[in-house]
Amino acid sequence: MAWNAGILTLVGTLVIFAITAWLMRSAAETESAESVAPKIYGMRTKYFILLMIIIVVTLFATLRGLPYSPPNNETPVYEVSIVGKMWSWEITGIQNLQENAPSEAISAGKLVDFVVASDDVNHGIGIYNQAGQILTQTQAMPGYPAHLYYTFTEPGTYHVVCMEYCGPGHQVMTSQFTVQ
Amino acid sequence: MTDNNLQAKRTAIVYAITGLLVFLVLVLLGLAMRMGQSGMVHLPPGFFYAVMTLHGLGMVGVLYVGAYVGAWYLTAQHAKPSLGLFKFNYVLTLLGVVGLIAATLIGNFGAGWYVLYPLPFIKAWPEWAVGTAVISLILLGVSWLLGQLDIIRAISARYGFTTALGWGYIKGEKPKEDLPPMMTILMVAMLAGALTTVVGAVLLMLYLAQWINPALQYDALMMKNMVFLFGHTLVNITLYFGVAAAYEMLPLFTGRPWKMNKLVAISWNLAFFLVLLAFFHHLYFDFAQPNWIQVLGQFASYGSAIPATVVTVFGVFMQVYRSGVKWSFVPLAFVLGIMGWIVGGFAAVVDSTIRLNLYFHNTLWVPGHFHTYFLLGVVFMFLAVVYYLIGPENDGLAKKGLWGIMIGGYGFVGMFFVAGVNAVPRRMSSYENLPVESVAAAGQSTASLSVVFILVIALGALAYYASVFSGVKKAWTAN
Repeated sequence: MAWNAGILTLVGTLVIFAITAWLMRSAAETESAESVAPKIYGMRTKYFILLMIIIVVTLFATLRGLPYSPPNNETPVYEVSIVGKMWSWEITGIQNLQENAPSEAISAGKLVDFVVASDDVNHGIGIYNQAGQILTQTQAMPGYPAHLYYTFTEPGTYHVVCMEYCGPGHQVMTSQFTVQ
Repeated sequence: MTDNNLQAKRTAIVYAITGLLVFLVLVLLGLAMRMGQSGMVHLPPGFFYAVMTLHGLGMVGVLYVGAYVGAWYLTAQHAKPSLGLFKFNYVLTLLGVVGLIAATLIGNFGAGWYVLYPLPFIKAWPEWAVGTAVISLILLGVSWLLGQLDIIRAISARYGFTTALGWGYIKGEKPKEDLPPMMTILMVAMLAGALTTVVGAVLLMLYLAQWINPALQYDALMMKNMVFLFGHTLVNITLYFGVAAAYEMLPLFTGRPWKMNKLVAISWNLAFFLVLLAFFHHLYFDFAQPNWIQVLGQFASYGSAIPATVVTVFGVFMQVYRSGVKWSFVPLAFVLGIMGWIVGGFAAVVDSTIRLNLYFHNTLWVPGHFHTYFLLGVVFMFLAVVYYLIGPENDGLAKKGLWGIMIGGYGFVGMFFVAGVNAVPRRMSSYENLPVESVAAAGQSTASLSVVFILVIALGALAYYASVFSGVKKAWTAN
């Protein structure tokens, strides 16, 4: 997803460069403002309509599946309590919510509810896979535990990186856990 | 020129030269940061973060003040902003800057430019450094608020408050005289700025109170909303001041008027509301924020693209297309600066999509987009206004400098975007502790390449400086 957004931004940037170059080159010729105005305003109307369509469609498409609630309103199977404090992460408990009992580890294919808290300043929990992709993240704000929902599709080792600058130990505030 | 106009010009020149010198020092601080992140040098983390704090606060400050100087000077050609306050603000700004340098480089204050509560109050730096930073920021805030209120007063005195906001055009009334569009843009920007500078001042007063009485504690969510309402608006109005200068000055070179009309008035009045609501995109991943506010943030962020592109960009098209304009330094820098604003804005709108922000939040994508619209947007507009004020007639060297800044600049910000796509987190003194090797390598390699690009930027800047400094003497004397 990040790469797609990166490519979109690169393409958009190159289009903006091309339009600027076209505009600046056009200035080599002279035409009166009165004559030029209908062309430019005509372009503007078309652009406005296109922009509104893009905005409406994109808002509609992207304002669903937001990270604030469990995907598809599924019920989480696991609850993992994790606390950030300067400068480490501690998993304080894993609960299997279906069995209502503590668990040693979480399993792939099951929805996890990470309850993320901070003991001191704002931290940010970023969960990375071994390929170096951010799978999901949230902020850990003091006084406001957050629920972060994720289903790991593959077993293996996953890494936790602090994403919110939190003082001189920020760069070493990492951890890892295993998904079975 | 009357004596007062000469005084005004000279004060603007002093501000401009100070700003250019401070900017270069801050670029060198940024260079040190990227060198540290690349592994070329080892910077102790505490020192890195103090440099990061000074670089961030300094750049936001110098660019705001630089844009304010342009806004003040251009307003002074039509209305009567206070010269006494303009000079007083220079002194207040210097005091604030000296205080911040002491707090960071001597006191190691490293809370970052967001000073996100409760980070300024951790025990990693001495209490005197916290107090000095907070008091310095209060001085700057007072200076900026007074400057904003004075310009609102001056423009309102000249045109009338509601007229200056373009409300007559919106209502379809025939104006008594043509209103320069710059006036509406500045009114909107200054009003948004004044409201949110008050919010920033309240925040800083709360910090001052806790510095005096450590038993005090505040709600972290409320504080984060306040600091980002203030900060988001501050950086956006900095851009708007630059854009206002483009509306005012491009016509001098294209020979085509850029007139106020109903659409321009509606667009900029709409921008007032959009800029005040879009800041919610900074809190997308603070899940404590109500969901409807998150959604509102995405609507307002996307909406910001409408006035910017439909009205301002097409206004630039009308100015430039087949106009016969000669690409001397000033129009060149303005048009390239508007381009940089739009490129950075596009990356910002991508990031303001909540489902994409999941991957980009707190990665180097974020400094990527704001360095784009700052370095390649606002800075270009600032360089244009300064050149107009003091640049020599022969602009060959300055133009070479501009291209140098542009090539180096896009390479430099490109490295941030590439690192962001590779999930490299932002605001880290080094990447050697990152647990995934590929991410650490992406961080270090992009930082190394960015060092080369910064050197190109610095060379370009020096060429521009050599050019404008050669023109100062002539500009200083009366015409």
